[in-house]
Amino acid sequence: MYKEKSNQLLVEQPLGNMQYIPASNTLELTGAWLWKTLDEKDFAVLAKKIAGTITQINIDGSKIVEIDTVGAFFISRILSYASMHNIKVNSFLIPESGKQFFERIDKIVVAKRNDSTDKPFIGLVPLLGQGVINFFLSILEFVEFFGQFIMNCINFARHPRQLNWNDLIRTIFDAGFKGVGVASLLSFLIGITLAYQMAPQFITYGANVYVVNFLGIALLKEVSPLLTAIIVAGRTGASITAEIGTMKVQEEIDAIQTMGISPITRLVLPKVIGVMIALPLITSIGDVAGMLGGAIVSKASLDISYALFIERVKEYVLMSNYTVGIYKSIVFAFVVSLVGCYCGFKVKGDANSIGEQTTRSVVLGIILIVFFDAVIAVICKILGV
Amino acid sequence: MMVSNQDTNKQPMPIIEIKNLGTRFGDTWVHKNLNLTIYPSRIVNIIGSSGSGKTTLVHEILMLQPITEGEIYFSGKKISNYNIEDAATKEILSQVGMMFQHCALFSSLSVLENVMFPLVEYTNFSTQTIREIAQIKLRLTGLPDNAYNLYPKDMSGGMLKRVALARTLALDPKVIFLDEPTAGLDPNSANGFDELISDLQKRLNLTVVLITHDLDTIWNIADEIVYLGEKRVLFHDTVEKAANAESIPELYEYFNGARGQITKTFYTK
Repeated sequence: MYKEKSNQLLVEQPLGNMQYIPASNTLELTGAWLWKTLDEKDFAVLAKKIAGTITQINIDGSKIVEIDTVGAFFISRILSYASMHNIKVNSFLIPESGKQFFERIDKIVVAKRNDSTDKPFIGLVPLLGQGVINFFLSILEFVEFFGQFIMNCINFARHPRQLNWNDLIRTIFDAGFKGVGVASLLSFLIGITLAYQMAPQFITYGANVYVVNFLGIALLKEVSPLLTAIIVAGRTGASITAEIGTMKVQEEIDAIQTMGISPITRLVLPKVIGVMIALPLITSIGDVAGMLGGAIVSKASLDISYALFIERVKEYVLMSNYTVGIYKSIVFAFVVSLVGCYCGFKVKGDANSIGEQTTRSVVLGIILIVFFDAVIAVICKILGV
Repeated sequence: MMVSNQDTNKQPMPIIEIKNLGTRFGDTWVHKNLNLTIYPSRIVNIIGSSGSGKTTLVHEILMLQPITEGEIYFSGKKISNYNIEDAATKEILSQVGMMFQHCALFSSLSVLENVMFPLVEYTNFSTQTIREIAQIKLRLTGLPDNAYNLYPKDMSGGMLKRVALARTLALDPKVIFLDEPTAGLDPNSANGFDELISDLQKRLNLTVVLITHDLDTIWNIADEIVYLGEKRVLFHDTVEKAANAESIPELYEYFNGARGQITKTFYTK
């Protein structure tokens, strides 16, 4: 039967019916025996009614007006129920024109009972083991991918003309130009928030002007590169994965390979280089936007004029703050784009896989960004920058 | 299938009736004044050069494509409502099955789940019952049992076509549409598939609408040929007559060209 009532009301065929007549010990099957007209619950009711009470039965299906595979399947089920419960079927009638059809389906149903085709059940422990193995395998795969990438880079350094310039410029445009708005807006807002939150602290100590030093370090060195990289991981990293993943599904990657062209040189390299060019640029713009936000709040709640703000920036904000931020963003760009490409290549041939790998690309990208941020912080400390 | 024999003498009601159909894409008319009547339990083959609107026509019957003018009737009911949530639309769509050219199997579901999908969506049977019904359909198409838990990406083209056919048959449709069913199959598999279609057509009393350029398939199983050209149905008759229709040069060429000649002599001798 239809799952939904509104559909069921439109069915024109008479409902399939089964009725047990004790007088003649006959099970009468009437109406249309179609998936639309049969209710599975009727069988349970019938089974309850006749279970254990009889040892033989006549089945009369000669009044069935229409039958489909499902109807045949259910009749076959009645027959097998009878044989399972040692009920002897004395006579079995079915319309002549439907007989051949029923017998064909019945043969399939009977043959199927003998073997199970259910999915094998996987226990918890093997599942866990498989997960651990897969995790280490995926690390191994990433190392392999990274190695291939480096090999291709070396090869590329020898023949720089092979670079796909169109793709490079498109990546710079997509990751850089199209992302600059959202990235600078966020940096601007963070600049405002940081300055606004810190303002009371500075006022308490009468150290209003130090807000500039604070913003210089916090924004340029830490917040702006990190924030921008996370936005790029979400925008560009995901789009790279989806793009390469779709190409993989449609066998475009294989096509490139059969032409004797390395998919990494052709697809990955322009993307990695493009993001590595774009990300420092939008980080710089984000720096400016963040400082602008800070300057506005400084003027409003700390009484620092714009001229004084710029003066303090020139004097006390070290160039190294900015350069460290930019170096960071280059590392982040490399990580995000490489993870994006790697996840794209990992896509298998089904629709779920693209979604799965895109999610993975963004999550892994953001985790690695924060991880490398910490690594760089330690390196900077050692180098004393 | 109907099992009562009360109206065998009467001319059966047409299952698909297309009246004065017109389809326009932008400024170009793909169909204009197209009339076509398909009677049940026939294997009808739609042919025509590329761009003659074969696939568009099938998409219109399946409500995938809105029509510009004219009417399409399915079992006497007019196809006009394109709201997929509408009960009447569902009732019509449950009686048709479409096998797409590239199978269009759900890549994230296993073979068995693919066939179970329409049953799960439409019926209120228990999962176990649905699974068993799906297994029957897969067996009808001759797919080996050990393939039921495979995923479409792990299967060969011939097997995919069989799964796609099983999914098409899932709801016991009255009419099935097959878009290039034998494209990309080796001759043996293609022959096997032809036999399968004609066998299932007889067993399940199906109406089959084929879109194919495979001359072997046409000669093997088609009952009727519908030739689309000049935006309408130019020819609608048996294969033999189509092969000798000298009044329509393109159609004649279709069956009597270099390739057609060989197949024609093989099947008509």
